[in-house]
Amino acid sequence: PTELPQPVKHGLQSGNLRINFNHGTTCLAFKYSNGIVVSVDSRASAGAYIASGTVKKVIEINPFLLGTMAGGAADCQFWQRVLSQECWLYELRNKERISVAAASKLLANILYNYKGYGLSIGTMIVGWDKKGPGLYYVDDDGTRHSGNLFAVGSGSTYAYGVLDTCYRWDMTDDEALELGRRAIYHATYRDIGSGNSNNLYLVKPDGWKFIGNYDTANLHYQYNPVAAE
Amino acid sequence: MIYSRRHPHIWQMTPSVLVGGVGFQGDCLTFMKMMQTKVKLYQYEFGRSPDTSAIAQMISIALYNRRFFPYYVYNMVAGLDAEGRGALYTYDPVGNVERALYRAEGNASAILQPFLDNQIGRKNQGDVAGPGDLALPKEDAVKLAHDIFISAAERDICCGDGVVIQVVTAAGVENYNYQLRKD
Repeated sequence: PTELPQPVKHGLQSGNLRINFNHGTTCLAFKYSNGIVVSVDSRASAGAYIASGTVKKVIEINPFLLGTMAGGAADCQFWQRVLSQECWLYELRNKERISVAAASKLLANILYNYKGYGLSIGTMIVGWDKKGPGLYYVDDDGTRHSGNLFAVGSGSTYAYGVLDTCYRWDMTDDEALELGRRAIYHATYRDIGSGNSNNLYLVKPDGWKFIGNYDTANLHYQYNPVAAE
Repeated sequence: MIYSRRHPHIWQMTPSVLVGGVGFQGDCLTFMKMMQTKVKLYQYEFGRSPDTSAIAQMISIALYNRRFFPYYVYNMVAGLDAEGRGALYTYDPVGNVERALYRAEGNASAILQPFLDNQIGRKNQGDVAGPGDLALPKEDAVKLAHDIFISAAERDICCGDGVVIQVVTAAGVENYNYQLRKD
């Protein structure tokens, strides 16, 4: 070929031809006194086109582990499926569930081997193991951080604004879920790459639970009611 | 340049699963033939045809295996799920898979997808309920698909000449071919 395909920040480009892959864009997770909240949007954009408004950006690795999807949708989906397989193999070999630290490190080490190849993955590995709640940020350049609060993706800055203002360690489940919902709503409002709906999960010692799917268009009118004429 | 006025994009993988793909035709052909081979190998190994969800997963992995030199194909898998209900899976060129109720891909996708959102997903119709039970009689569904392609042919230069509509039911696959404007 006259020009080999070059990886581009969002897709693949060779001369004038450009293939856009699906990208996913605001995810957040935070620990609090009673558990961990995971809140994500559901938009996948292929360039400027909204390829899907119903993407599942929380990947259920196993009943105690969740992974979020930001960056390349196929990259996150594929490698988190590989992570599920590795976690299951760990359980079979060691007769106990894998820790969140170990699971996140497995993924981080795999991604480090592909460093420079153009993978786009910004994920949080969330779970509950014998050391308590676990939350790790892992990305495609091999970064792996443990923490109490993360927001990832093109809308992360907007989510941080809301989270950093209202976050407290001592919250009830309802307060924590509402914070997760609001932060995603604000990110979807201001970031063009995020939107459609919010999927909320709550992680407790007995595993994760899916709380619900909230249309961000409806959330807007809930938070900004239009006065009756 | 129009090379052919009849070039179907849907391939039959098993008696009850159809796979459609549009994009770069070289990759479409190769990918479809490769998938047919994979299905055959599955049949030799397991003694039965793979079901819709198995083919759906296979395609995702097959696409991702070429992550660094992708197949420029936008795929869709249509079949019946384990409960006998209609199943549709859609993909991006590198294997991101999602199960959907409806989907449009290809040159006219940006024109057709919003129409599908409104007519099948019943979006933005105020108090009218969502997709609900999708209890559309087969004849109406075929008519709708035909109308969709008539619209596509009106407003996209690459669409036209004809449309091939295939319906997957418990009884098998039925074909409906219609002519479209040839300009």
